Order: sequence, then C-alpha cells, then structure tokens
Amino acid sequence: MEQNKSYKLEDLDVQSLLGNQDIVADIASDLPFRKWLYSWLLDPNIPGNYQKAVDKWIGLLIVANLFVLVFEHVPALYEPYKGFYHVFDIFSVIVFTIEYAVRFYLAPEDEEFKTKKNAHVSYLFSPFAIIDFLAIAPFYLKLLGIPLDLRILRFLRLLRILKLFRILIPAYADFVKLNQGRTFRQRVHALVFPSAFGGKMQEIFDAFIGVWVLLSVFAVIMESMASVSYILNLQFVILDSVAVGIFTIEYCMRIYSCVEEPGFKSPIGGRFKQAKTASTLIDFLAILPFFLEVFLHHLIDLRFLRVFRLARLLKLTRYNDATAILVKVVVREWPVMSASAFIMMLLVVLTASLGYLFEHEAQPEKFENIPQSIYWAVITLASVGYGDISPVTPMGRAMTIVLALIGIGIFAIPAALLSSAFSDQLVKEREALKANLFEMLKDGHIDEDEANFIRQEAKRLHLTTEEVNALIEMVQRENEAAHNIKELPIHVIAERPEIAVEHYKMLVGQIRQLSMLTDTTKFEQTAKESDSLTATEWSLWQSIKAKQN
Amino acid sequence: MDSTSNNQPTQSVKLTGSDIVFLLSMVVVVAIVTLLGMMAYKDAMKTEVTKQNGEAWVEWLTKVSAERMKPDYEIAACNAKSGDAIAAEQAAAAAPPAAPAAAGKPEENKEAAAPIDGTWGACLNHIMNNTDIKDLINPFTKERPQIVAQCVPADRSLVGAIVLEKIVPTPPGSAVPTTNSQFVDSDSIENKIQIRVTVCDKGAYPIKVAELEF
Repeated sequence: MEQNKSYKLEDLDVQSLLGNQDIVADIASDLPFRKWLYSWLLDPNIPGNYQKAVDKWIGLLIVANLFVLVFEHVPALYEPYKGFYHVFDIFSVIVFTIEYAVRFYLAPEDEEFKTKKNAHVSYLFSPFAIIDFLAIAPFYLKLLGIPLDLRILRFLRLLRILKLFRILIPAYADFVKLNQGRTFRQRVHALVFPSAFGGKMQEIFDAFIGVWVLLSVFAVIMESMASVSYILNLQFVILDSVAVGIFTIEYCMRIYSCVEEPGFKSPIGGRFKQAKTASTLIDFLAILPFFLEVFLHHLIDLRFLRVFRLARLLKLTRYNDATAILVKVVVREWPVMSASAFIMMLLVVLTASLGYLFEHEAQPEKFENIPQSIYWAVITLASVGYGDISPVTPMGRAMTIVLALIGIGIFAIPAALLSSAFSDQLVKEREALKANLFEMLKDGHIDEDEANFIRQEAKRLHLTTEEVNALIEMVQRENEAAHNIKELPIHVIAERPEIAVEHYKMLVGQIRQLSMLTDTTKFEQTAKESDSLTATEWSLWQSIKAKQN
Repeated sequence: MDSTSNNQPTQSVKLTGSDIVFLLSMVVVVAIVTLLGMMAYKDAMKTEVTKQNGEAWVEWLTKVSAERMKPDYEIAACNAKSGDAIAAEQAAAAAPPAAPAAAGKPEENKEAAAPIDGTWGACLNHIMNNTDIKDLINPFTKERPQIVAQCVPADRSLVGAIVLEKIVPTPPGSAVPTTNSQFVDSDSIENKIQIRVTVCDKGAYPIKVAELEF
C-alpha cells in the first residue's frame, strides 16, 4: 500500500498529485552504469523512468504473439503470409532475448536478488527467468538443428503467454493485500466494480473485458464479409462462444457482487435494481443473441439477432465517463428536447401532407400516400436531400423552399440544445470540483484521499494538468483572500474599495456555493414558511440561483 | 488501510453459504456455456463439411474442365465433343423447354428417357454415380447431398444441399453483367460454361463456394 502522503499547499506539485506520466525521472547521471541502467529500465520505485513503458510494450508483444499463434493454425491466414510470421517470430525472439539478457545483467541491482550470494544465478533459477527462458528456448533449439515436432514447438511458444505473469502476479499480490480480511463477495466486487480495493487487478480485468469486446465486435464485422467468413467461420464460432462465456461470467459476477455497491444493498431488490441499470442491460444484451440462437434456431430464424452482437461495443461506455455526462444531459434536457421533437414531428407530418396534396397528381408513383411522403419530408427537412423524390409542381417547390429553410432551424435545435447543455454540465461539474477544492484547501494541505479524489475528478472531467493547476491556484487565491478579509472588521473592509469588492465577490461566491450545495427546494420552502427573508434578499437569492442554473 | 495490516499473514477467504451458491451457479453457467459452445462448434463443423462437399464438386469440375474438351475424352457423358451433343441441342430446340426443378426441391430426373451424352443431365448422372462425388455425405442428414435449385432458409430440408447454377451473360446494356440460372438436363455442355457452386448451411442460407469454368 502506498504510504500516506500529505501535499503542502505552498509546494503543491500538480504533476505528482495527478500521477501524470510526464514526470522526469530523478536519476543521477554519475551512477555506475549498471545501477543507472536498472534505474531507467527496471526499477519500479522511480516515477518517470521507463519501467512501466517496458512492461507495457513487452505485454503487448506477448499478446501479439498469442494472436499470431492462433492465426498460424488457420491455413488460409498462415500459408500466404508465412514469411511475415517468420519475421515476426524472429523479431519477438530478439526482443525477448534482449529483455532476458538485460534482466540477467541487471539482476544484482534488483531488490529480489541483490541480497543473494550470487544474484545472476539466483535470477536464472527464479520462476520468471525460467518462463523468460522457455519463451525463447524453442527458437534456439530449432536454430541449433535439434528436431522438434511442430506441435511441440507451437506449444512451447505458447508458453510465452506465461510472461504476462510478470504483470499479473504483482497486481494479484497487491489485490490480495488490499482485500485482506474482506469477504469473498467483497473481493469479487473489488474486481469488477471500480473501488479503492481494486488496484491494478481491476484495471487488468477492465482491459481484459475491453479487449474481448473489441475482438468480438471486430469478428462480427469481419463475419459480414462473405470471403472472410467462408475461410474463418469455425474460428468465428469459437471466438464468439469464448466471448459469450467471458461476458456471462462477468455478468454473473456483477449481479452477485452489486450488493456491495451503495444503493444496491438489498439481496434481491438490489440485484434486480442492478439488472435494470443501463450498463447491466447492455451486458445482458451482449450475451442474449447467442443463447437465443442456440436454443431457438430450430423453431425460428434468428440470424438477424447476430447483428445485435454489435451492441457489445456499448459495453465500453462503462469505461467512459463522457457517456454518463451525456446521458445526464439528455435526461436533464428531456422536457425541452421532447418539445422540440414534438414540433419536428408536427412539421414532418404537415410537410408530408402538403407534399402529398401538391404532388400526388403529378407524381402518383412517388407521392403515393402520406406515409411515403414522410420519407421525402424527413429527407428534405433534415437537409439530406437524396434527390430520389423531389417536387415538380410550382406549389410543391415553393412549399419545399419554405420548409427546407424552417427545417434547418427546427432540426438544429436538439443538436444545439445538447451541445450547450453538455458544455454547461461540464462547467457545472468543474464548478463543483472547484467548490470541493476550496473545502479541501481550507486546512492548507491535501491528504492522500483528497489527492485521489482530485485525480479521479480530473480524469472524469478530462482536465489537463494545467487546468487543474489553474483551478488550484484560483482556489488558493480565493482562499487566501477570504482568509485575509475574514480577519478584518467590516468597517475596515468598507473603507478600502478593492477589499470591499473582493469581500463582495466572496460573499456572492458563498451564496453561489450555498445554492449549489444546499437543497434549494427545501431552502426556499423554509425561507417562505419562516418569512425570514426580505423581498430584496429573496430576489438576490433568486438572481444568483438563476445565474447558477 | 493501516500500515499494520501490511504485516499480517495472508488470511484465507472464508466462504459463506451464498458464496458457495454463487460459485456453484458459476460452475453450472460455465458448463452450460461450454455445452452450447460445443453445440455451436459441432454445427459449424457440419457447415465446414458441407463447404468441403461443395469444394469437392469444384475440384472435380475444374479438373475435368480442360480434359473434357478433347475429342478422345473417355467419359462420354461429359465430353464436349460427343456426337450426341448436337442432337441434344436440336432436340432441345424442337421440344418445349424442360421445366426447371421446383425452387428449393431436389432436382429429380423427370424425364423417362436417359439423358443424351454431352448434356448436363448425362454428365450430372455420371458424376453422381461414377465418381468420388457419389461418396459425399451431407453431415446434417447423413445422406447423399441433394442437388437443389436454390437454398431457401424457410425450408429446413435443404440444409447441407448443393446448388449448381450456370452463369449466363446478360445482353449488353443490362444493369448486371451476368445472371444465374439453374441447369436443365437437356442443357448442352458442348462449349465451356461458367458454373457457380453454392451450398446451403445449417439455416439453409446459401454459402457461395466458387465460380468456375467447366
């Protein structure tokens, strides 16, 4: 567990607070070469070095090797590109060999081996080193002319996947440590839901699901190409079955452990509530077509359901907070949007009816009836204008000119509403963050929990380091000004206009914060019932609250 | 988390009754998904065998394609230069055109008389009775694959069937350069013909195997 840190306000480093990657590693250049190299490449305790990047790229190469190994079993994918596979294998072996050699050379600097009698030998017999060796050994055995069956060779190459344990084992150890003393269900919850107990393991779980979502959606898209589907039909079936297996297990884990989430505590009601959430419904839709098709394909043709497997892509929205903001915006603006949709519908029906009225006689095959005219109306009002149906009568054309011009405005309303509401929501959430920062910085320092909160919020609101920095500075200034002004008696403030302005701003700011943090309905109800606000005070409150909204 | 907890030995997880129920249900779910996956795999394998049947046709027709144009080609039924071919053509011109096999139904030899050598009917008979093709098995029905006019998803009796169509060029200026039409027994095979081989999958949907010159 990371040591509890406290960030002093005066020497606050936003880069380190946000845990950003572009921190420059503090490694002295006059270190002995081996120590220097270890510090740059493999030391996990130096922020800003290349250790994470090395792990990431090696991990990606391992996953790529796994895919290549799978593709090699498909003659249609292997035979025409044999050369490429061979070059990729050589490249992988070179990278893995360099990695093995570097780790061997740097073993005496590693915390794990430096205390051993012979660090190099200890490294060679460590589990990770054995895995690393097995990953490259088959290639050299073959190179030395030792005859190996192709299946054995492929199996040995499959062992490269074990190299991923270098990432998985520390993550698992961290996960176990974080969840010490917690129940099995809490551990499942920590794995599938974002929480303080998930650690790196939860990130790996999310990445694993994300990769399978992308893979299965890619497979669905490729399946629609007859030439690809003809060759890889069997592989697509296997991939889909495995993906459904993974997604089903994930779905069960979420339903089982959701009772650990606040608001979902009831064993049955909580799970039912979870099952009804948009993200869980999407999870359900992602697996439903498979089961329906397997069970019911003898009775009805459910091939059309396959396209719904593309809904799996929606699973990724869980990992993107922007979607949640968008949903919030749509829900908030729904009354206005529904009004706009009503006007649009009215306009479409009116346009279609007039189009039918003016054009039916001239073009009975195109404007056969009003429903058919609706297609033309929507295409015209939305400014798409395919041109397959167009008016020919003077009245029809005149009407089209007017309606096309109206359509530009009417159809643009929902887009404009959404866009402005979206940006308003972001501003509001940033204001809320600012209010929180204001509270946090009152005591002059940021503790680890507060830093975690800022990290999460900055990530959620897509704030850059500079923006967070500016926000913190602004809050700092406001805080300092508030501190200083608060200490002054009111008549002193009143004597100095610049301080009076600041004081006024602070008071208005406090009212603004109050309007954000308090339940305004209850506030207003209480104020009305107790009759404690004068008309001026009431109108000032309304004015500030209205601006805030 | 406090720092003292870091030094505690790792505790084993105690499973409650609901945890065990969950784990058991997970095992059941995994078993069901595996079973369904196996079923889907078996069905996919059957489709693969069906495609292989189609490929066997493609292979045979392609192999014979060049040979059959030689006058001394030993299989008279498929020989382009068979003397009977011309007579067949004349007969076909004189007689009303033979009714094509009903859509989606197996082509049956409706003509009482044996087809004349050098016609599609004779060649098909020869292929179905005297070549390796006769040993092909429809994996869905475990019988010989039917030769049908087209795959019709509504008709489940057509799963695993094979469709052989001739590709006919359309007149100049048409929207599409070629069109597919089904063979009739009296079709002459005197000249090279373009053939499209299709098989019907487990839902009786068509899967195009190849287009070849015969």
